[in-house]
Order: sequence, then C-alpha cells, then structure tokens
Amino acid sequence: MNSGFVDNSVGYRRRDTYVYRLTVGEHLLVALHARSDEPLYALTPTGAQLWERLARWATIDELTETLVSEYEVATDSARQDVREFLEQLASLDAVESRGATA
Amino acid sequence: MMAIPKISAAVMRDRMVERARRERIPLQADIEIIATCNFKCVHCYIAPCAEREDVMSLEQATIVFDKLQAAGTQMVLLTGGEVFTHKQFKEIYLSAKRHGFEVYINTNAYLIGERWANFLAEWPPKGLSISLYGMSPESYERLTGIPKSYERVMRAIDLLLERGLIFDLKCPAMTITAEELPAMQAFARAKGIRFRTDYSIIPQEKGDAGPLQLQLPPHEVMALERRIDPELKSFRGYAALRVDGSTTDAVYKCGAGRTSLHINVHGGVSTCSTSRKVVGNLFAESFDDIWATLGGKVAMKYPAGHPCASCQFSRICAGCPATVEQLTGLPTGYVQMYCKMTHQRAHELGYHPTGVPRTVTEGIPAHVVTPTRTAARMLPVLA
Repeated sequence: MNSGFVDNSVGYRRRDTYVYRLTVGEHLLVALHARSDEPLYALTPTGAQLWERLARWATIDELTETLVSEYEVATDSARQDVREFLEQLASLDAVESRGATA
Repeated sequence: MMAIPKISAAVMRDRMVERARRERIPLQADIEIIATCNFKCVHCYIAPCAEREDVMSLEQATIVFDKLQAAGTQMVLLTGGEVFTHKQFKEIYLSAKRHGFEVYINTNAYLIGERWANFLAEWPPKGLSISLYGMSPESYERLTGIPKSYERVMRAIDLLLERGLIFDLKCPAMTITAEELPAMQAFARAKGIRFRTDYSIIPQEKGDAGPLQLQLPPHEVMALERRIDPELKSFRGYAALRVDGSTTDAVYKCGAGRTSLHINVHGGVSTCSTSRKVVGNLFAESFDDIWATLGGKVAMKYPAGHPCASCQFSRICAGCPATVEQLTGLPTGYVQMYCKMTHQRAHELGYHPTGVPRTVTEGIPAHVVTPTRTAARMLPVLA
C-alpha cells in the first residue's frame, strides 16, 4: 500500500480471517486461522467503525468520509488515519484489495 | 489514531477479567457438548451414566453460543465426555470460533491423528487440555479400559507438538495414579508442556459413589505433593496471596456464577463442571433469568457457627462448594477430609501449629450437613 498516494480506484474489504466483537467494553478482532501472530487484537472505537464499514468494498475516500461524518476531524488527518489502519490490517492479513494499485 | 492499539492480548484479557468481576459478566463458559466417551475411566463422574442421546446438536450449540455472545462471554471450553467422538464436533467448534469466542478444548486425545492435528493447526484453539492417565500401556489401559490408549495418546501429543499447538496435560491424583504422577510430571516437563493435577474425586452424576473409593486420604495427598513439588513452591505462592488471618462467611470465593458458568448437554446451567446441580435451562429460559438465579446461589453465606465461616484457610481449601455439594448435597455442607487436607497443607507451610482442624478436637456442629451416608462409606477410612 502506497501511503503517500490516494488511489480511489482501489477498493478494500475485510477478510474473513478475523471476527470482530464488542465485548466487556473491548473492541476485539479475534483470529480464526493459524496465520495470526496473536489470538486477538484490540481496536479503538474508530477502528471498529472502519472495520464495520469494510464489510463492503470501500475506497480510502469512502472510509475517510466515514470518519469525517462522525467526528470533528480534518479530512487530511482522517485520510492519514485510514491509511495507517489499512496498513495495520494488511499486516495482519485482515483486509483484501481490488482494482489498480499505484 | 492507532486504530489497532499495541497492547498485548494478556493485558487486554486482564482488563476484561477485572471489568467482568466488577460487573458480573459471564466471561467464560464451559459447554458440555457430549456426555458419552470412548474411554471407560474408573473415576469418571459423567460418562459412565451417560446415554447415547446425551449429546448437544449443532443447532442447540448455536443457540447456546448466540446467548453467550449476547451476554458478553469471550472464552468457551468445549468439553465432554469426549468431544472428538461428537459427529458434529468440527461444525460446533468452527461455529464457536466464528462467534468470536476464544475456544478451549478438553479431550483424552485418543482420536487425534494426522487429520485432526492438521485441522487444529489450521484452526487453532486458544488452548487444549489433554487428560493423561499413566506412563505405560498397562497402567493406561487399567484406568481407561481401552487397548492401545497409551500409544494413541502419546502419538497425539507428538503430532500436536510438531504443529506448535498449545496444550497442557492433566491427571487426577487418586489411588491408581498416585504412583506414576511424578513420572507424568517429568514427562510433561521434558516436552515443555504444563502439567497439573487435582486431588478431589467426586461421585458419578447420577449418584453412584464408587469413584470416591479412589480418593487419596489427606496424609497421602501431602506425601504426593511433596514428591511432585518438594519445596511446595507452587502451593506456597498460591497460599501467600490468600492466607492473611482474615475469615469470610462467603461460600463461593471463586469466579463460578460471577464470571463463569457451566452448561450441560441438555442446556442445564450450573456454577461449574464439578457442580451437577442445574439452576435453569438455556433452551427454555432467558440467559438473564438463569444468570440472576446463579448469582443468587453464589451469593450464599455460611450459617452461623459453620466451621468454614471462621476458618482462615477457607480460601485455600482442598474442597470447594461444588465438590462439597457433590458429597453432601449442599454447597454449605462440610467435608472433614478436605478440612484435614487443608490444615495439613497449612501446617507444612507454617501457617498452622498442628495441622489438625478444630472439628477433630471439638466436633462438627450438629446443624452442619456432612457427606451422605453413601459418600461417607466410600471415602478413605483413614482420612
């Protein structure tokens, strides 16, 4: 993923390698497969919101809009957060992409 | 933003446990998906009286998972009987995982060959607990009643180790395992596997007290603990956190009914797997109603004058409300054998001058319920 470039022809969607749960006040990503280093990870509430949005294909701009519409955050800052989140998910094999990559 | 904070799973779990304790959330559930077993263990309290229909179907398991998920459960233990004999085990296990639970499995490992080991490696449980019953084919088969059980289990252990799966080994300490327990512990240690044992044997679910004949008397428990752990390091550390001179009249001092529960094959809910007294049925009632009833049960206090209410060792007692309930019929009963074990341990650790409980010298108050006649007849006479 090229974090210095926004390519809205690329879509992202979460993979079925993790299950999300909100339980006992924690937003959890629970690993289903052996490939994960950890059995579970914690998400922030905003991460959980993006994860929910990633049930359907979404571009970086669409994901950014999810944050901007919900929180008082500048678009550039939200876009940077989205990029970082997608990078984290990619490193966990928790997200797939389609379309051209820059 | 750090959408995935860098905190370890252990830290997160501690945080969840703390909140679950504070708010009484059922973080952990033991689910018995089958009561029958492919072993015929002489000490078992479930399988010998189980019938073929004592099985939880996938549909029923899904109902249980849905209710637990909504209640906040995060860890589920699939137990039996022997879970790998369940025809829908794979589907039930995967359903539990897809509900987002961290899944643990209890097994005798007899059926774990290459295929199951590969499946578990691909879809790893959070933990496996394997029952170990001896260190030779002869001793294994004497206990399990099944030919080749030793060889099959040893192979399963190697298959799981080769695939990097996390599991522990456990064996109940009783008359027919005591001699080999130190060797089992050494075997586990050599393989880098955690080993644990338990000293309480309970009657069969439907009342046969036969397994109690295998219970080790207190002085043999102490001698065995010394063989396994000469410095009593592990018990010393456990006791240091729990013995401070104070007493409590609370009967339940564990997480049962507060952060955990047990569900049997028919949906019956009890405090834990040792307690067979169900307080409600998940297939017929709401989770909240049953959880409230369970909460009432574990909030009970000892009646005035009960020896456990004024005992400073009640938090390290060899018995627990569930084992006492199985032997006496009531969680508020009194089993002197456990009391003797506990006081001997306390004596060994320097907490008690003689190791002899007050009830031996002063007697047991008449209003306190003691083991049923059947149970008393089976327990060690030299206790």
